[in-house]
Amino acid sequence: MERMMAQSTVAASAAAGAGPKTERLFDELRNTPLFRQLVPMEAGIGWPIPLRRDGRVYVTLPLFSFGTGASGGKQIQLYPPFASVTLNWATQRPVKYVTFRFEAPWTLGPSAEPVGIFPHDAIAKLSIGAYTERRKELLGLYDELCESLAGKGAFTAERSARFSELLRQLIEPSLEPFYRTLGPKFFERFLPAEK
Amino acid sequence: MDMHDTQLGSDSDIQPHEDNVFDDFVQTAVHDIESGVANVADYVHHILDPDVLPQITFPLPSLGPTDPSVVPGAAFAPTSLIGDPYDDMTYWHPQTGSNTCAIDSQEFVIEQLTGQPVSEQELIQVAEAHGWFDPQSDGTAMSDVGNLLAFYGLHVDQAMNATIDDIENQLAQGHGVIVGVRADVLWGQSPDTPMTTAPTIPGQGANHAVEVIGMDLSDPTNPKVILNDSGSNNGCGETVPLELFDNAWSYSDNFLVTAIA
Repeated sequence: MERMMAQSTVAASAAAGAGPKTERLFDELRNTPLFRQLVPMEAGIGWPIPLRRDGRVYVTLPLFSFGTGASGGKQIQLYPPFASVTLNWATQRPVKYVTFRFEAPWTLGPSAEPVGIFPHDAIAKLSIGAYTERRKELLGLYDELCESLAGKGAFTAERSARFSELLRQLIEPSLEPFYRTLGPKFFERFLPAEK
Repeated sequence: MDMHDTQLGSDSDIQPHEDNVFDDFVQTAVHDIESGVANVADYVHHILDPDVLPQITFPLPSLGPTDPSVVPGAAFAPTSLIGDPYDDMTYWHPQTGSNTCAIDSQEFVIEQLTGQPVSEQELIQVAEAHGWFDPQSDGTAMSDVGNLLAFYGLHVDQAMNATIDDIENQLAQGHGVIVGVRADVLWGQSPDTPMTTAPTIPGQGANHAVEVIGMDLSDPTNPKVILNDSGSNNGCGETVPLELFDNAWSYSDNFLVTAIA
């Protein structure tokens, strides 16, 4: 058996090499020493928020808690994000970790209260297979968007429209306000607030 | 040989059975004992015969399998069962908190190895006090899985890239075993399952901890892993195919925590 490594390197996940890079990012992030040391295993990883700084592309991933519904019809409750991690898109190495109890973009009480449920209305009638397909497609479009931000290819109007359509459908409405706070420019571009 | 023809009373009269359906065996035993043909000691002695015991199938209470191909009451011949799932199952309970799977998995192991009863609430308090469980983020970081075991006096080891052989070796020695898994894979969510009945958010990776309490190798072509899974209402002795378990486990890089009393 290999002992847990202490170095801050990105470990290859069992799913490495399969699916969009952004999709693999979810598994690979969980296997980083930073995640394993600081983030509960049970935490959810939210929709990525890309940004460009000094010519480099980064993605911020909100981390949120959700209640696992055991068989028996229990609803899955969603809680406000409690932290975020920002990664260098090219190398996928963490560059920033923020716990929102320390830096509070919004108020978190001593123990969080749920803010919504999963699945929301826009996806409630889907099957798991259909949801997974749409999720995979959206994460693939994230790849194209980030590559475009890095100057490698164009993110066409058609792809952008499809990206917005899928993000609107899949983003959890109860978590959207928190995501907007974390990435106002991204959301203004791809999910402009209805006026 | 028909069970009813079996003549009991001396070892030389006991014949190997061709048909060892447990219900028939019990009915015959009751009949013979009540009618005075044989006594209880005869049957106990007979059933413990090493030539007889492996042929007898003992039905088990329903283990709440998640795999519909697993038939409750499957045979657990002594040499094909690793671990002590029967005893370990008595310590299972469903988690009361939404993300206390790692807490509960450690609770089961602590009670099994120390004999000391502890509650989920007590362990949450201890974990919170040490920063191993945050009520706000609601869960346990992977690196902290095992800290409660050590707190209660157990010798703990954590490892990545562990193997099934490692699990078998630990179980065979009576050690506690906890692993990290991807819940939606472990619970075998079919693509046709409606989202409204999905027990967890799909695609979230290794986000769950369970205790491994046994390996059922009675069918070499279909080995199974036996779990205490606090996140499932059917998690007491939850039995899953080895291949499914291995897939779910791989998402945690085969994270393994072992405990020794």
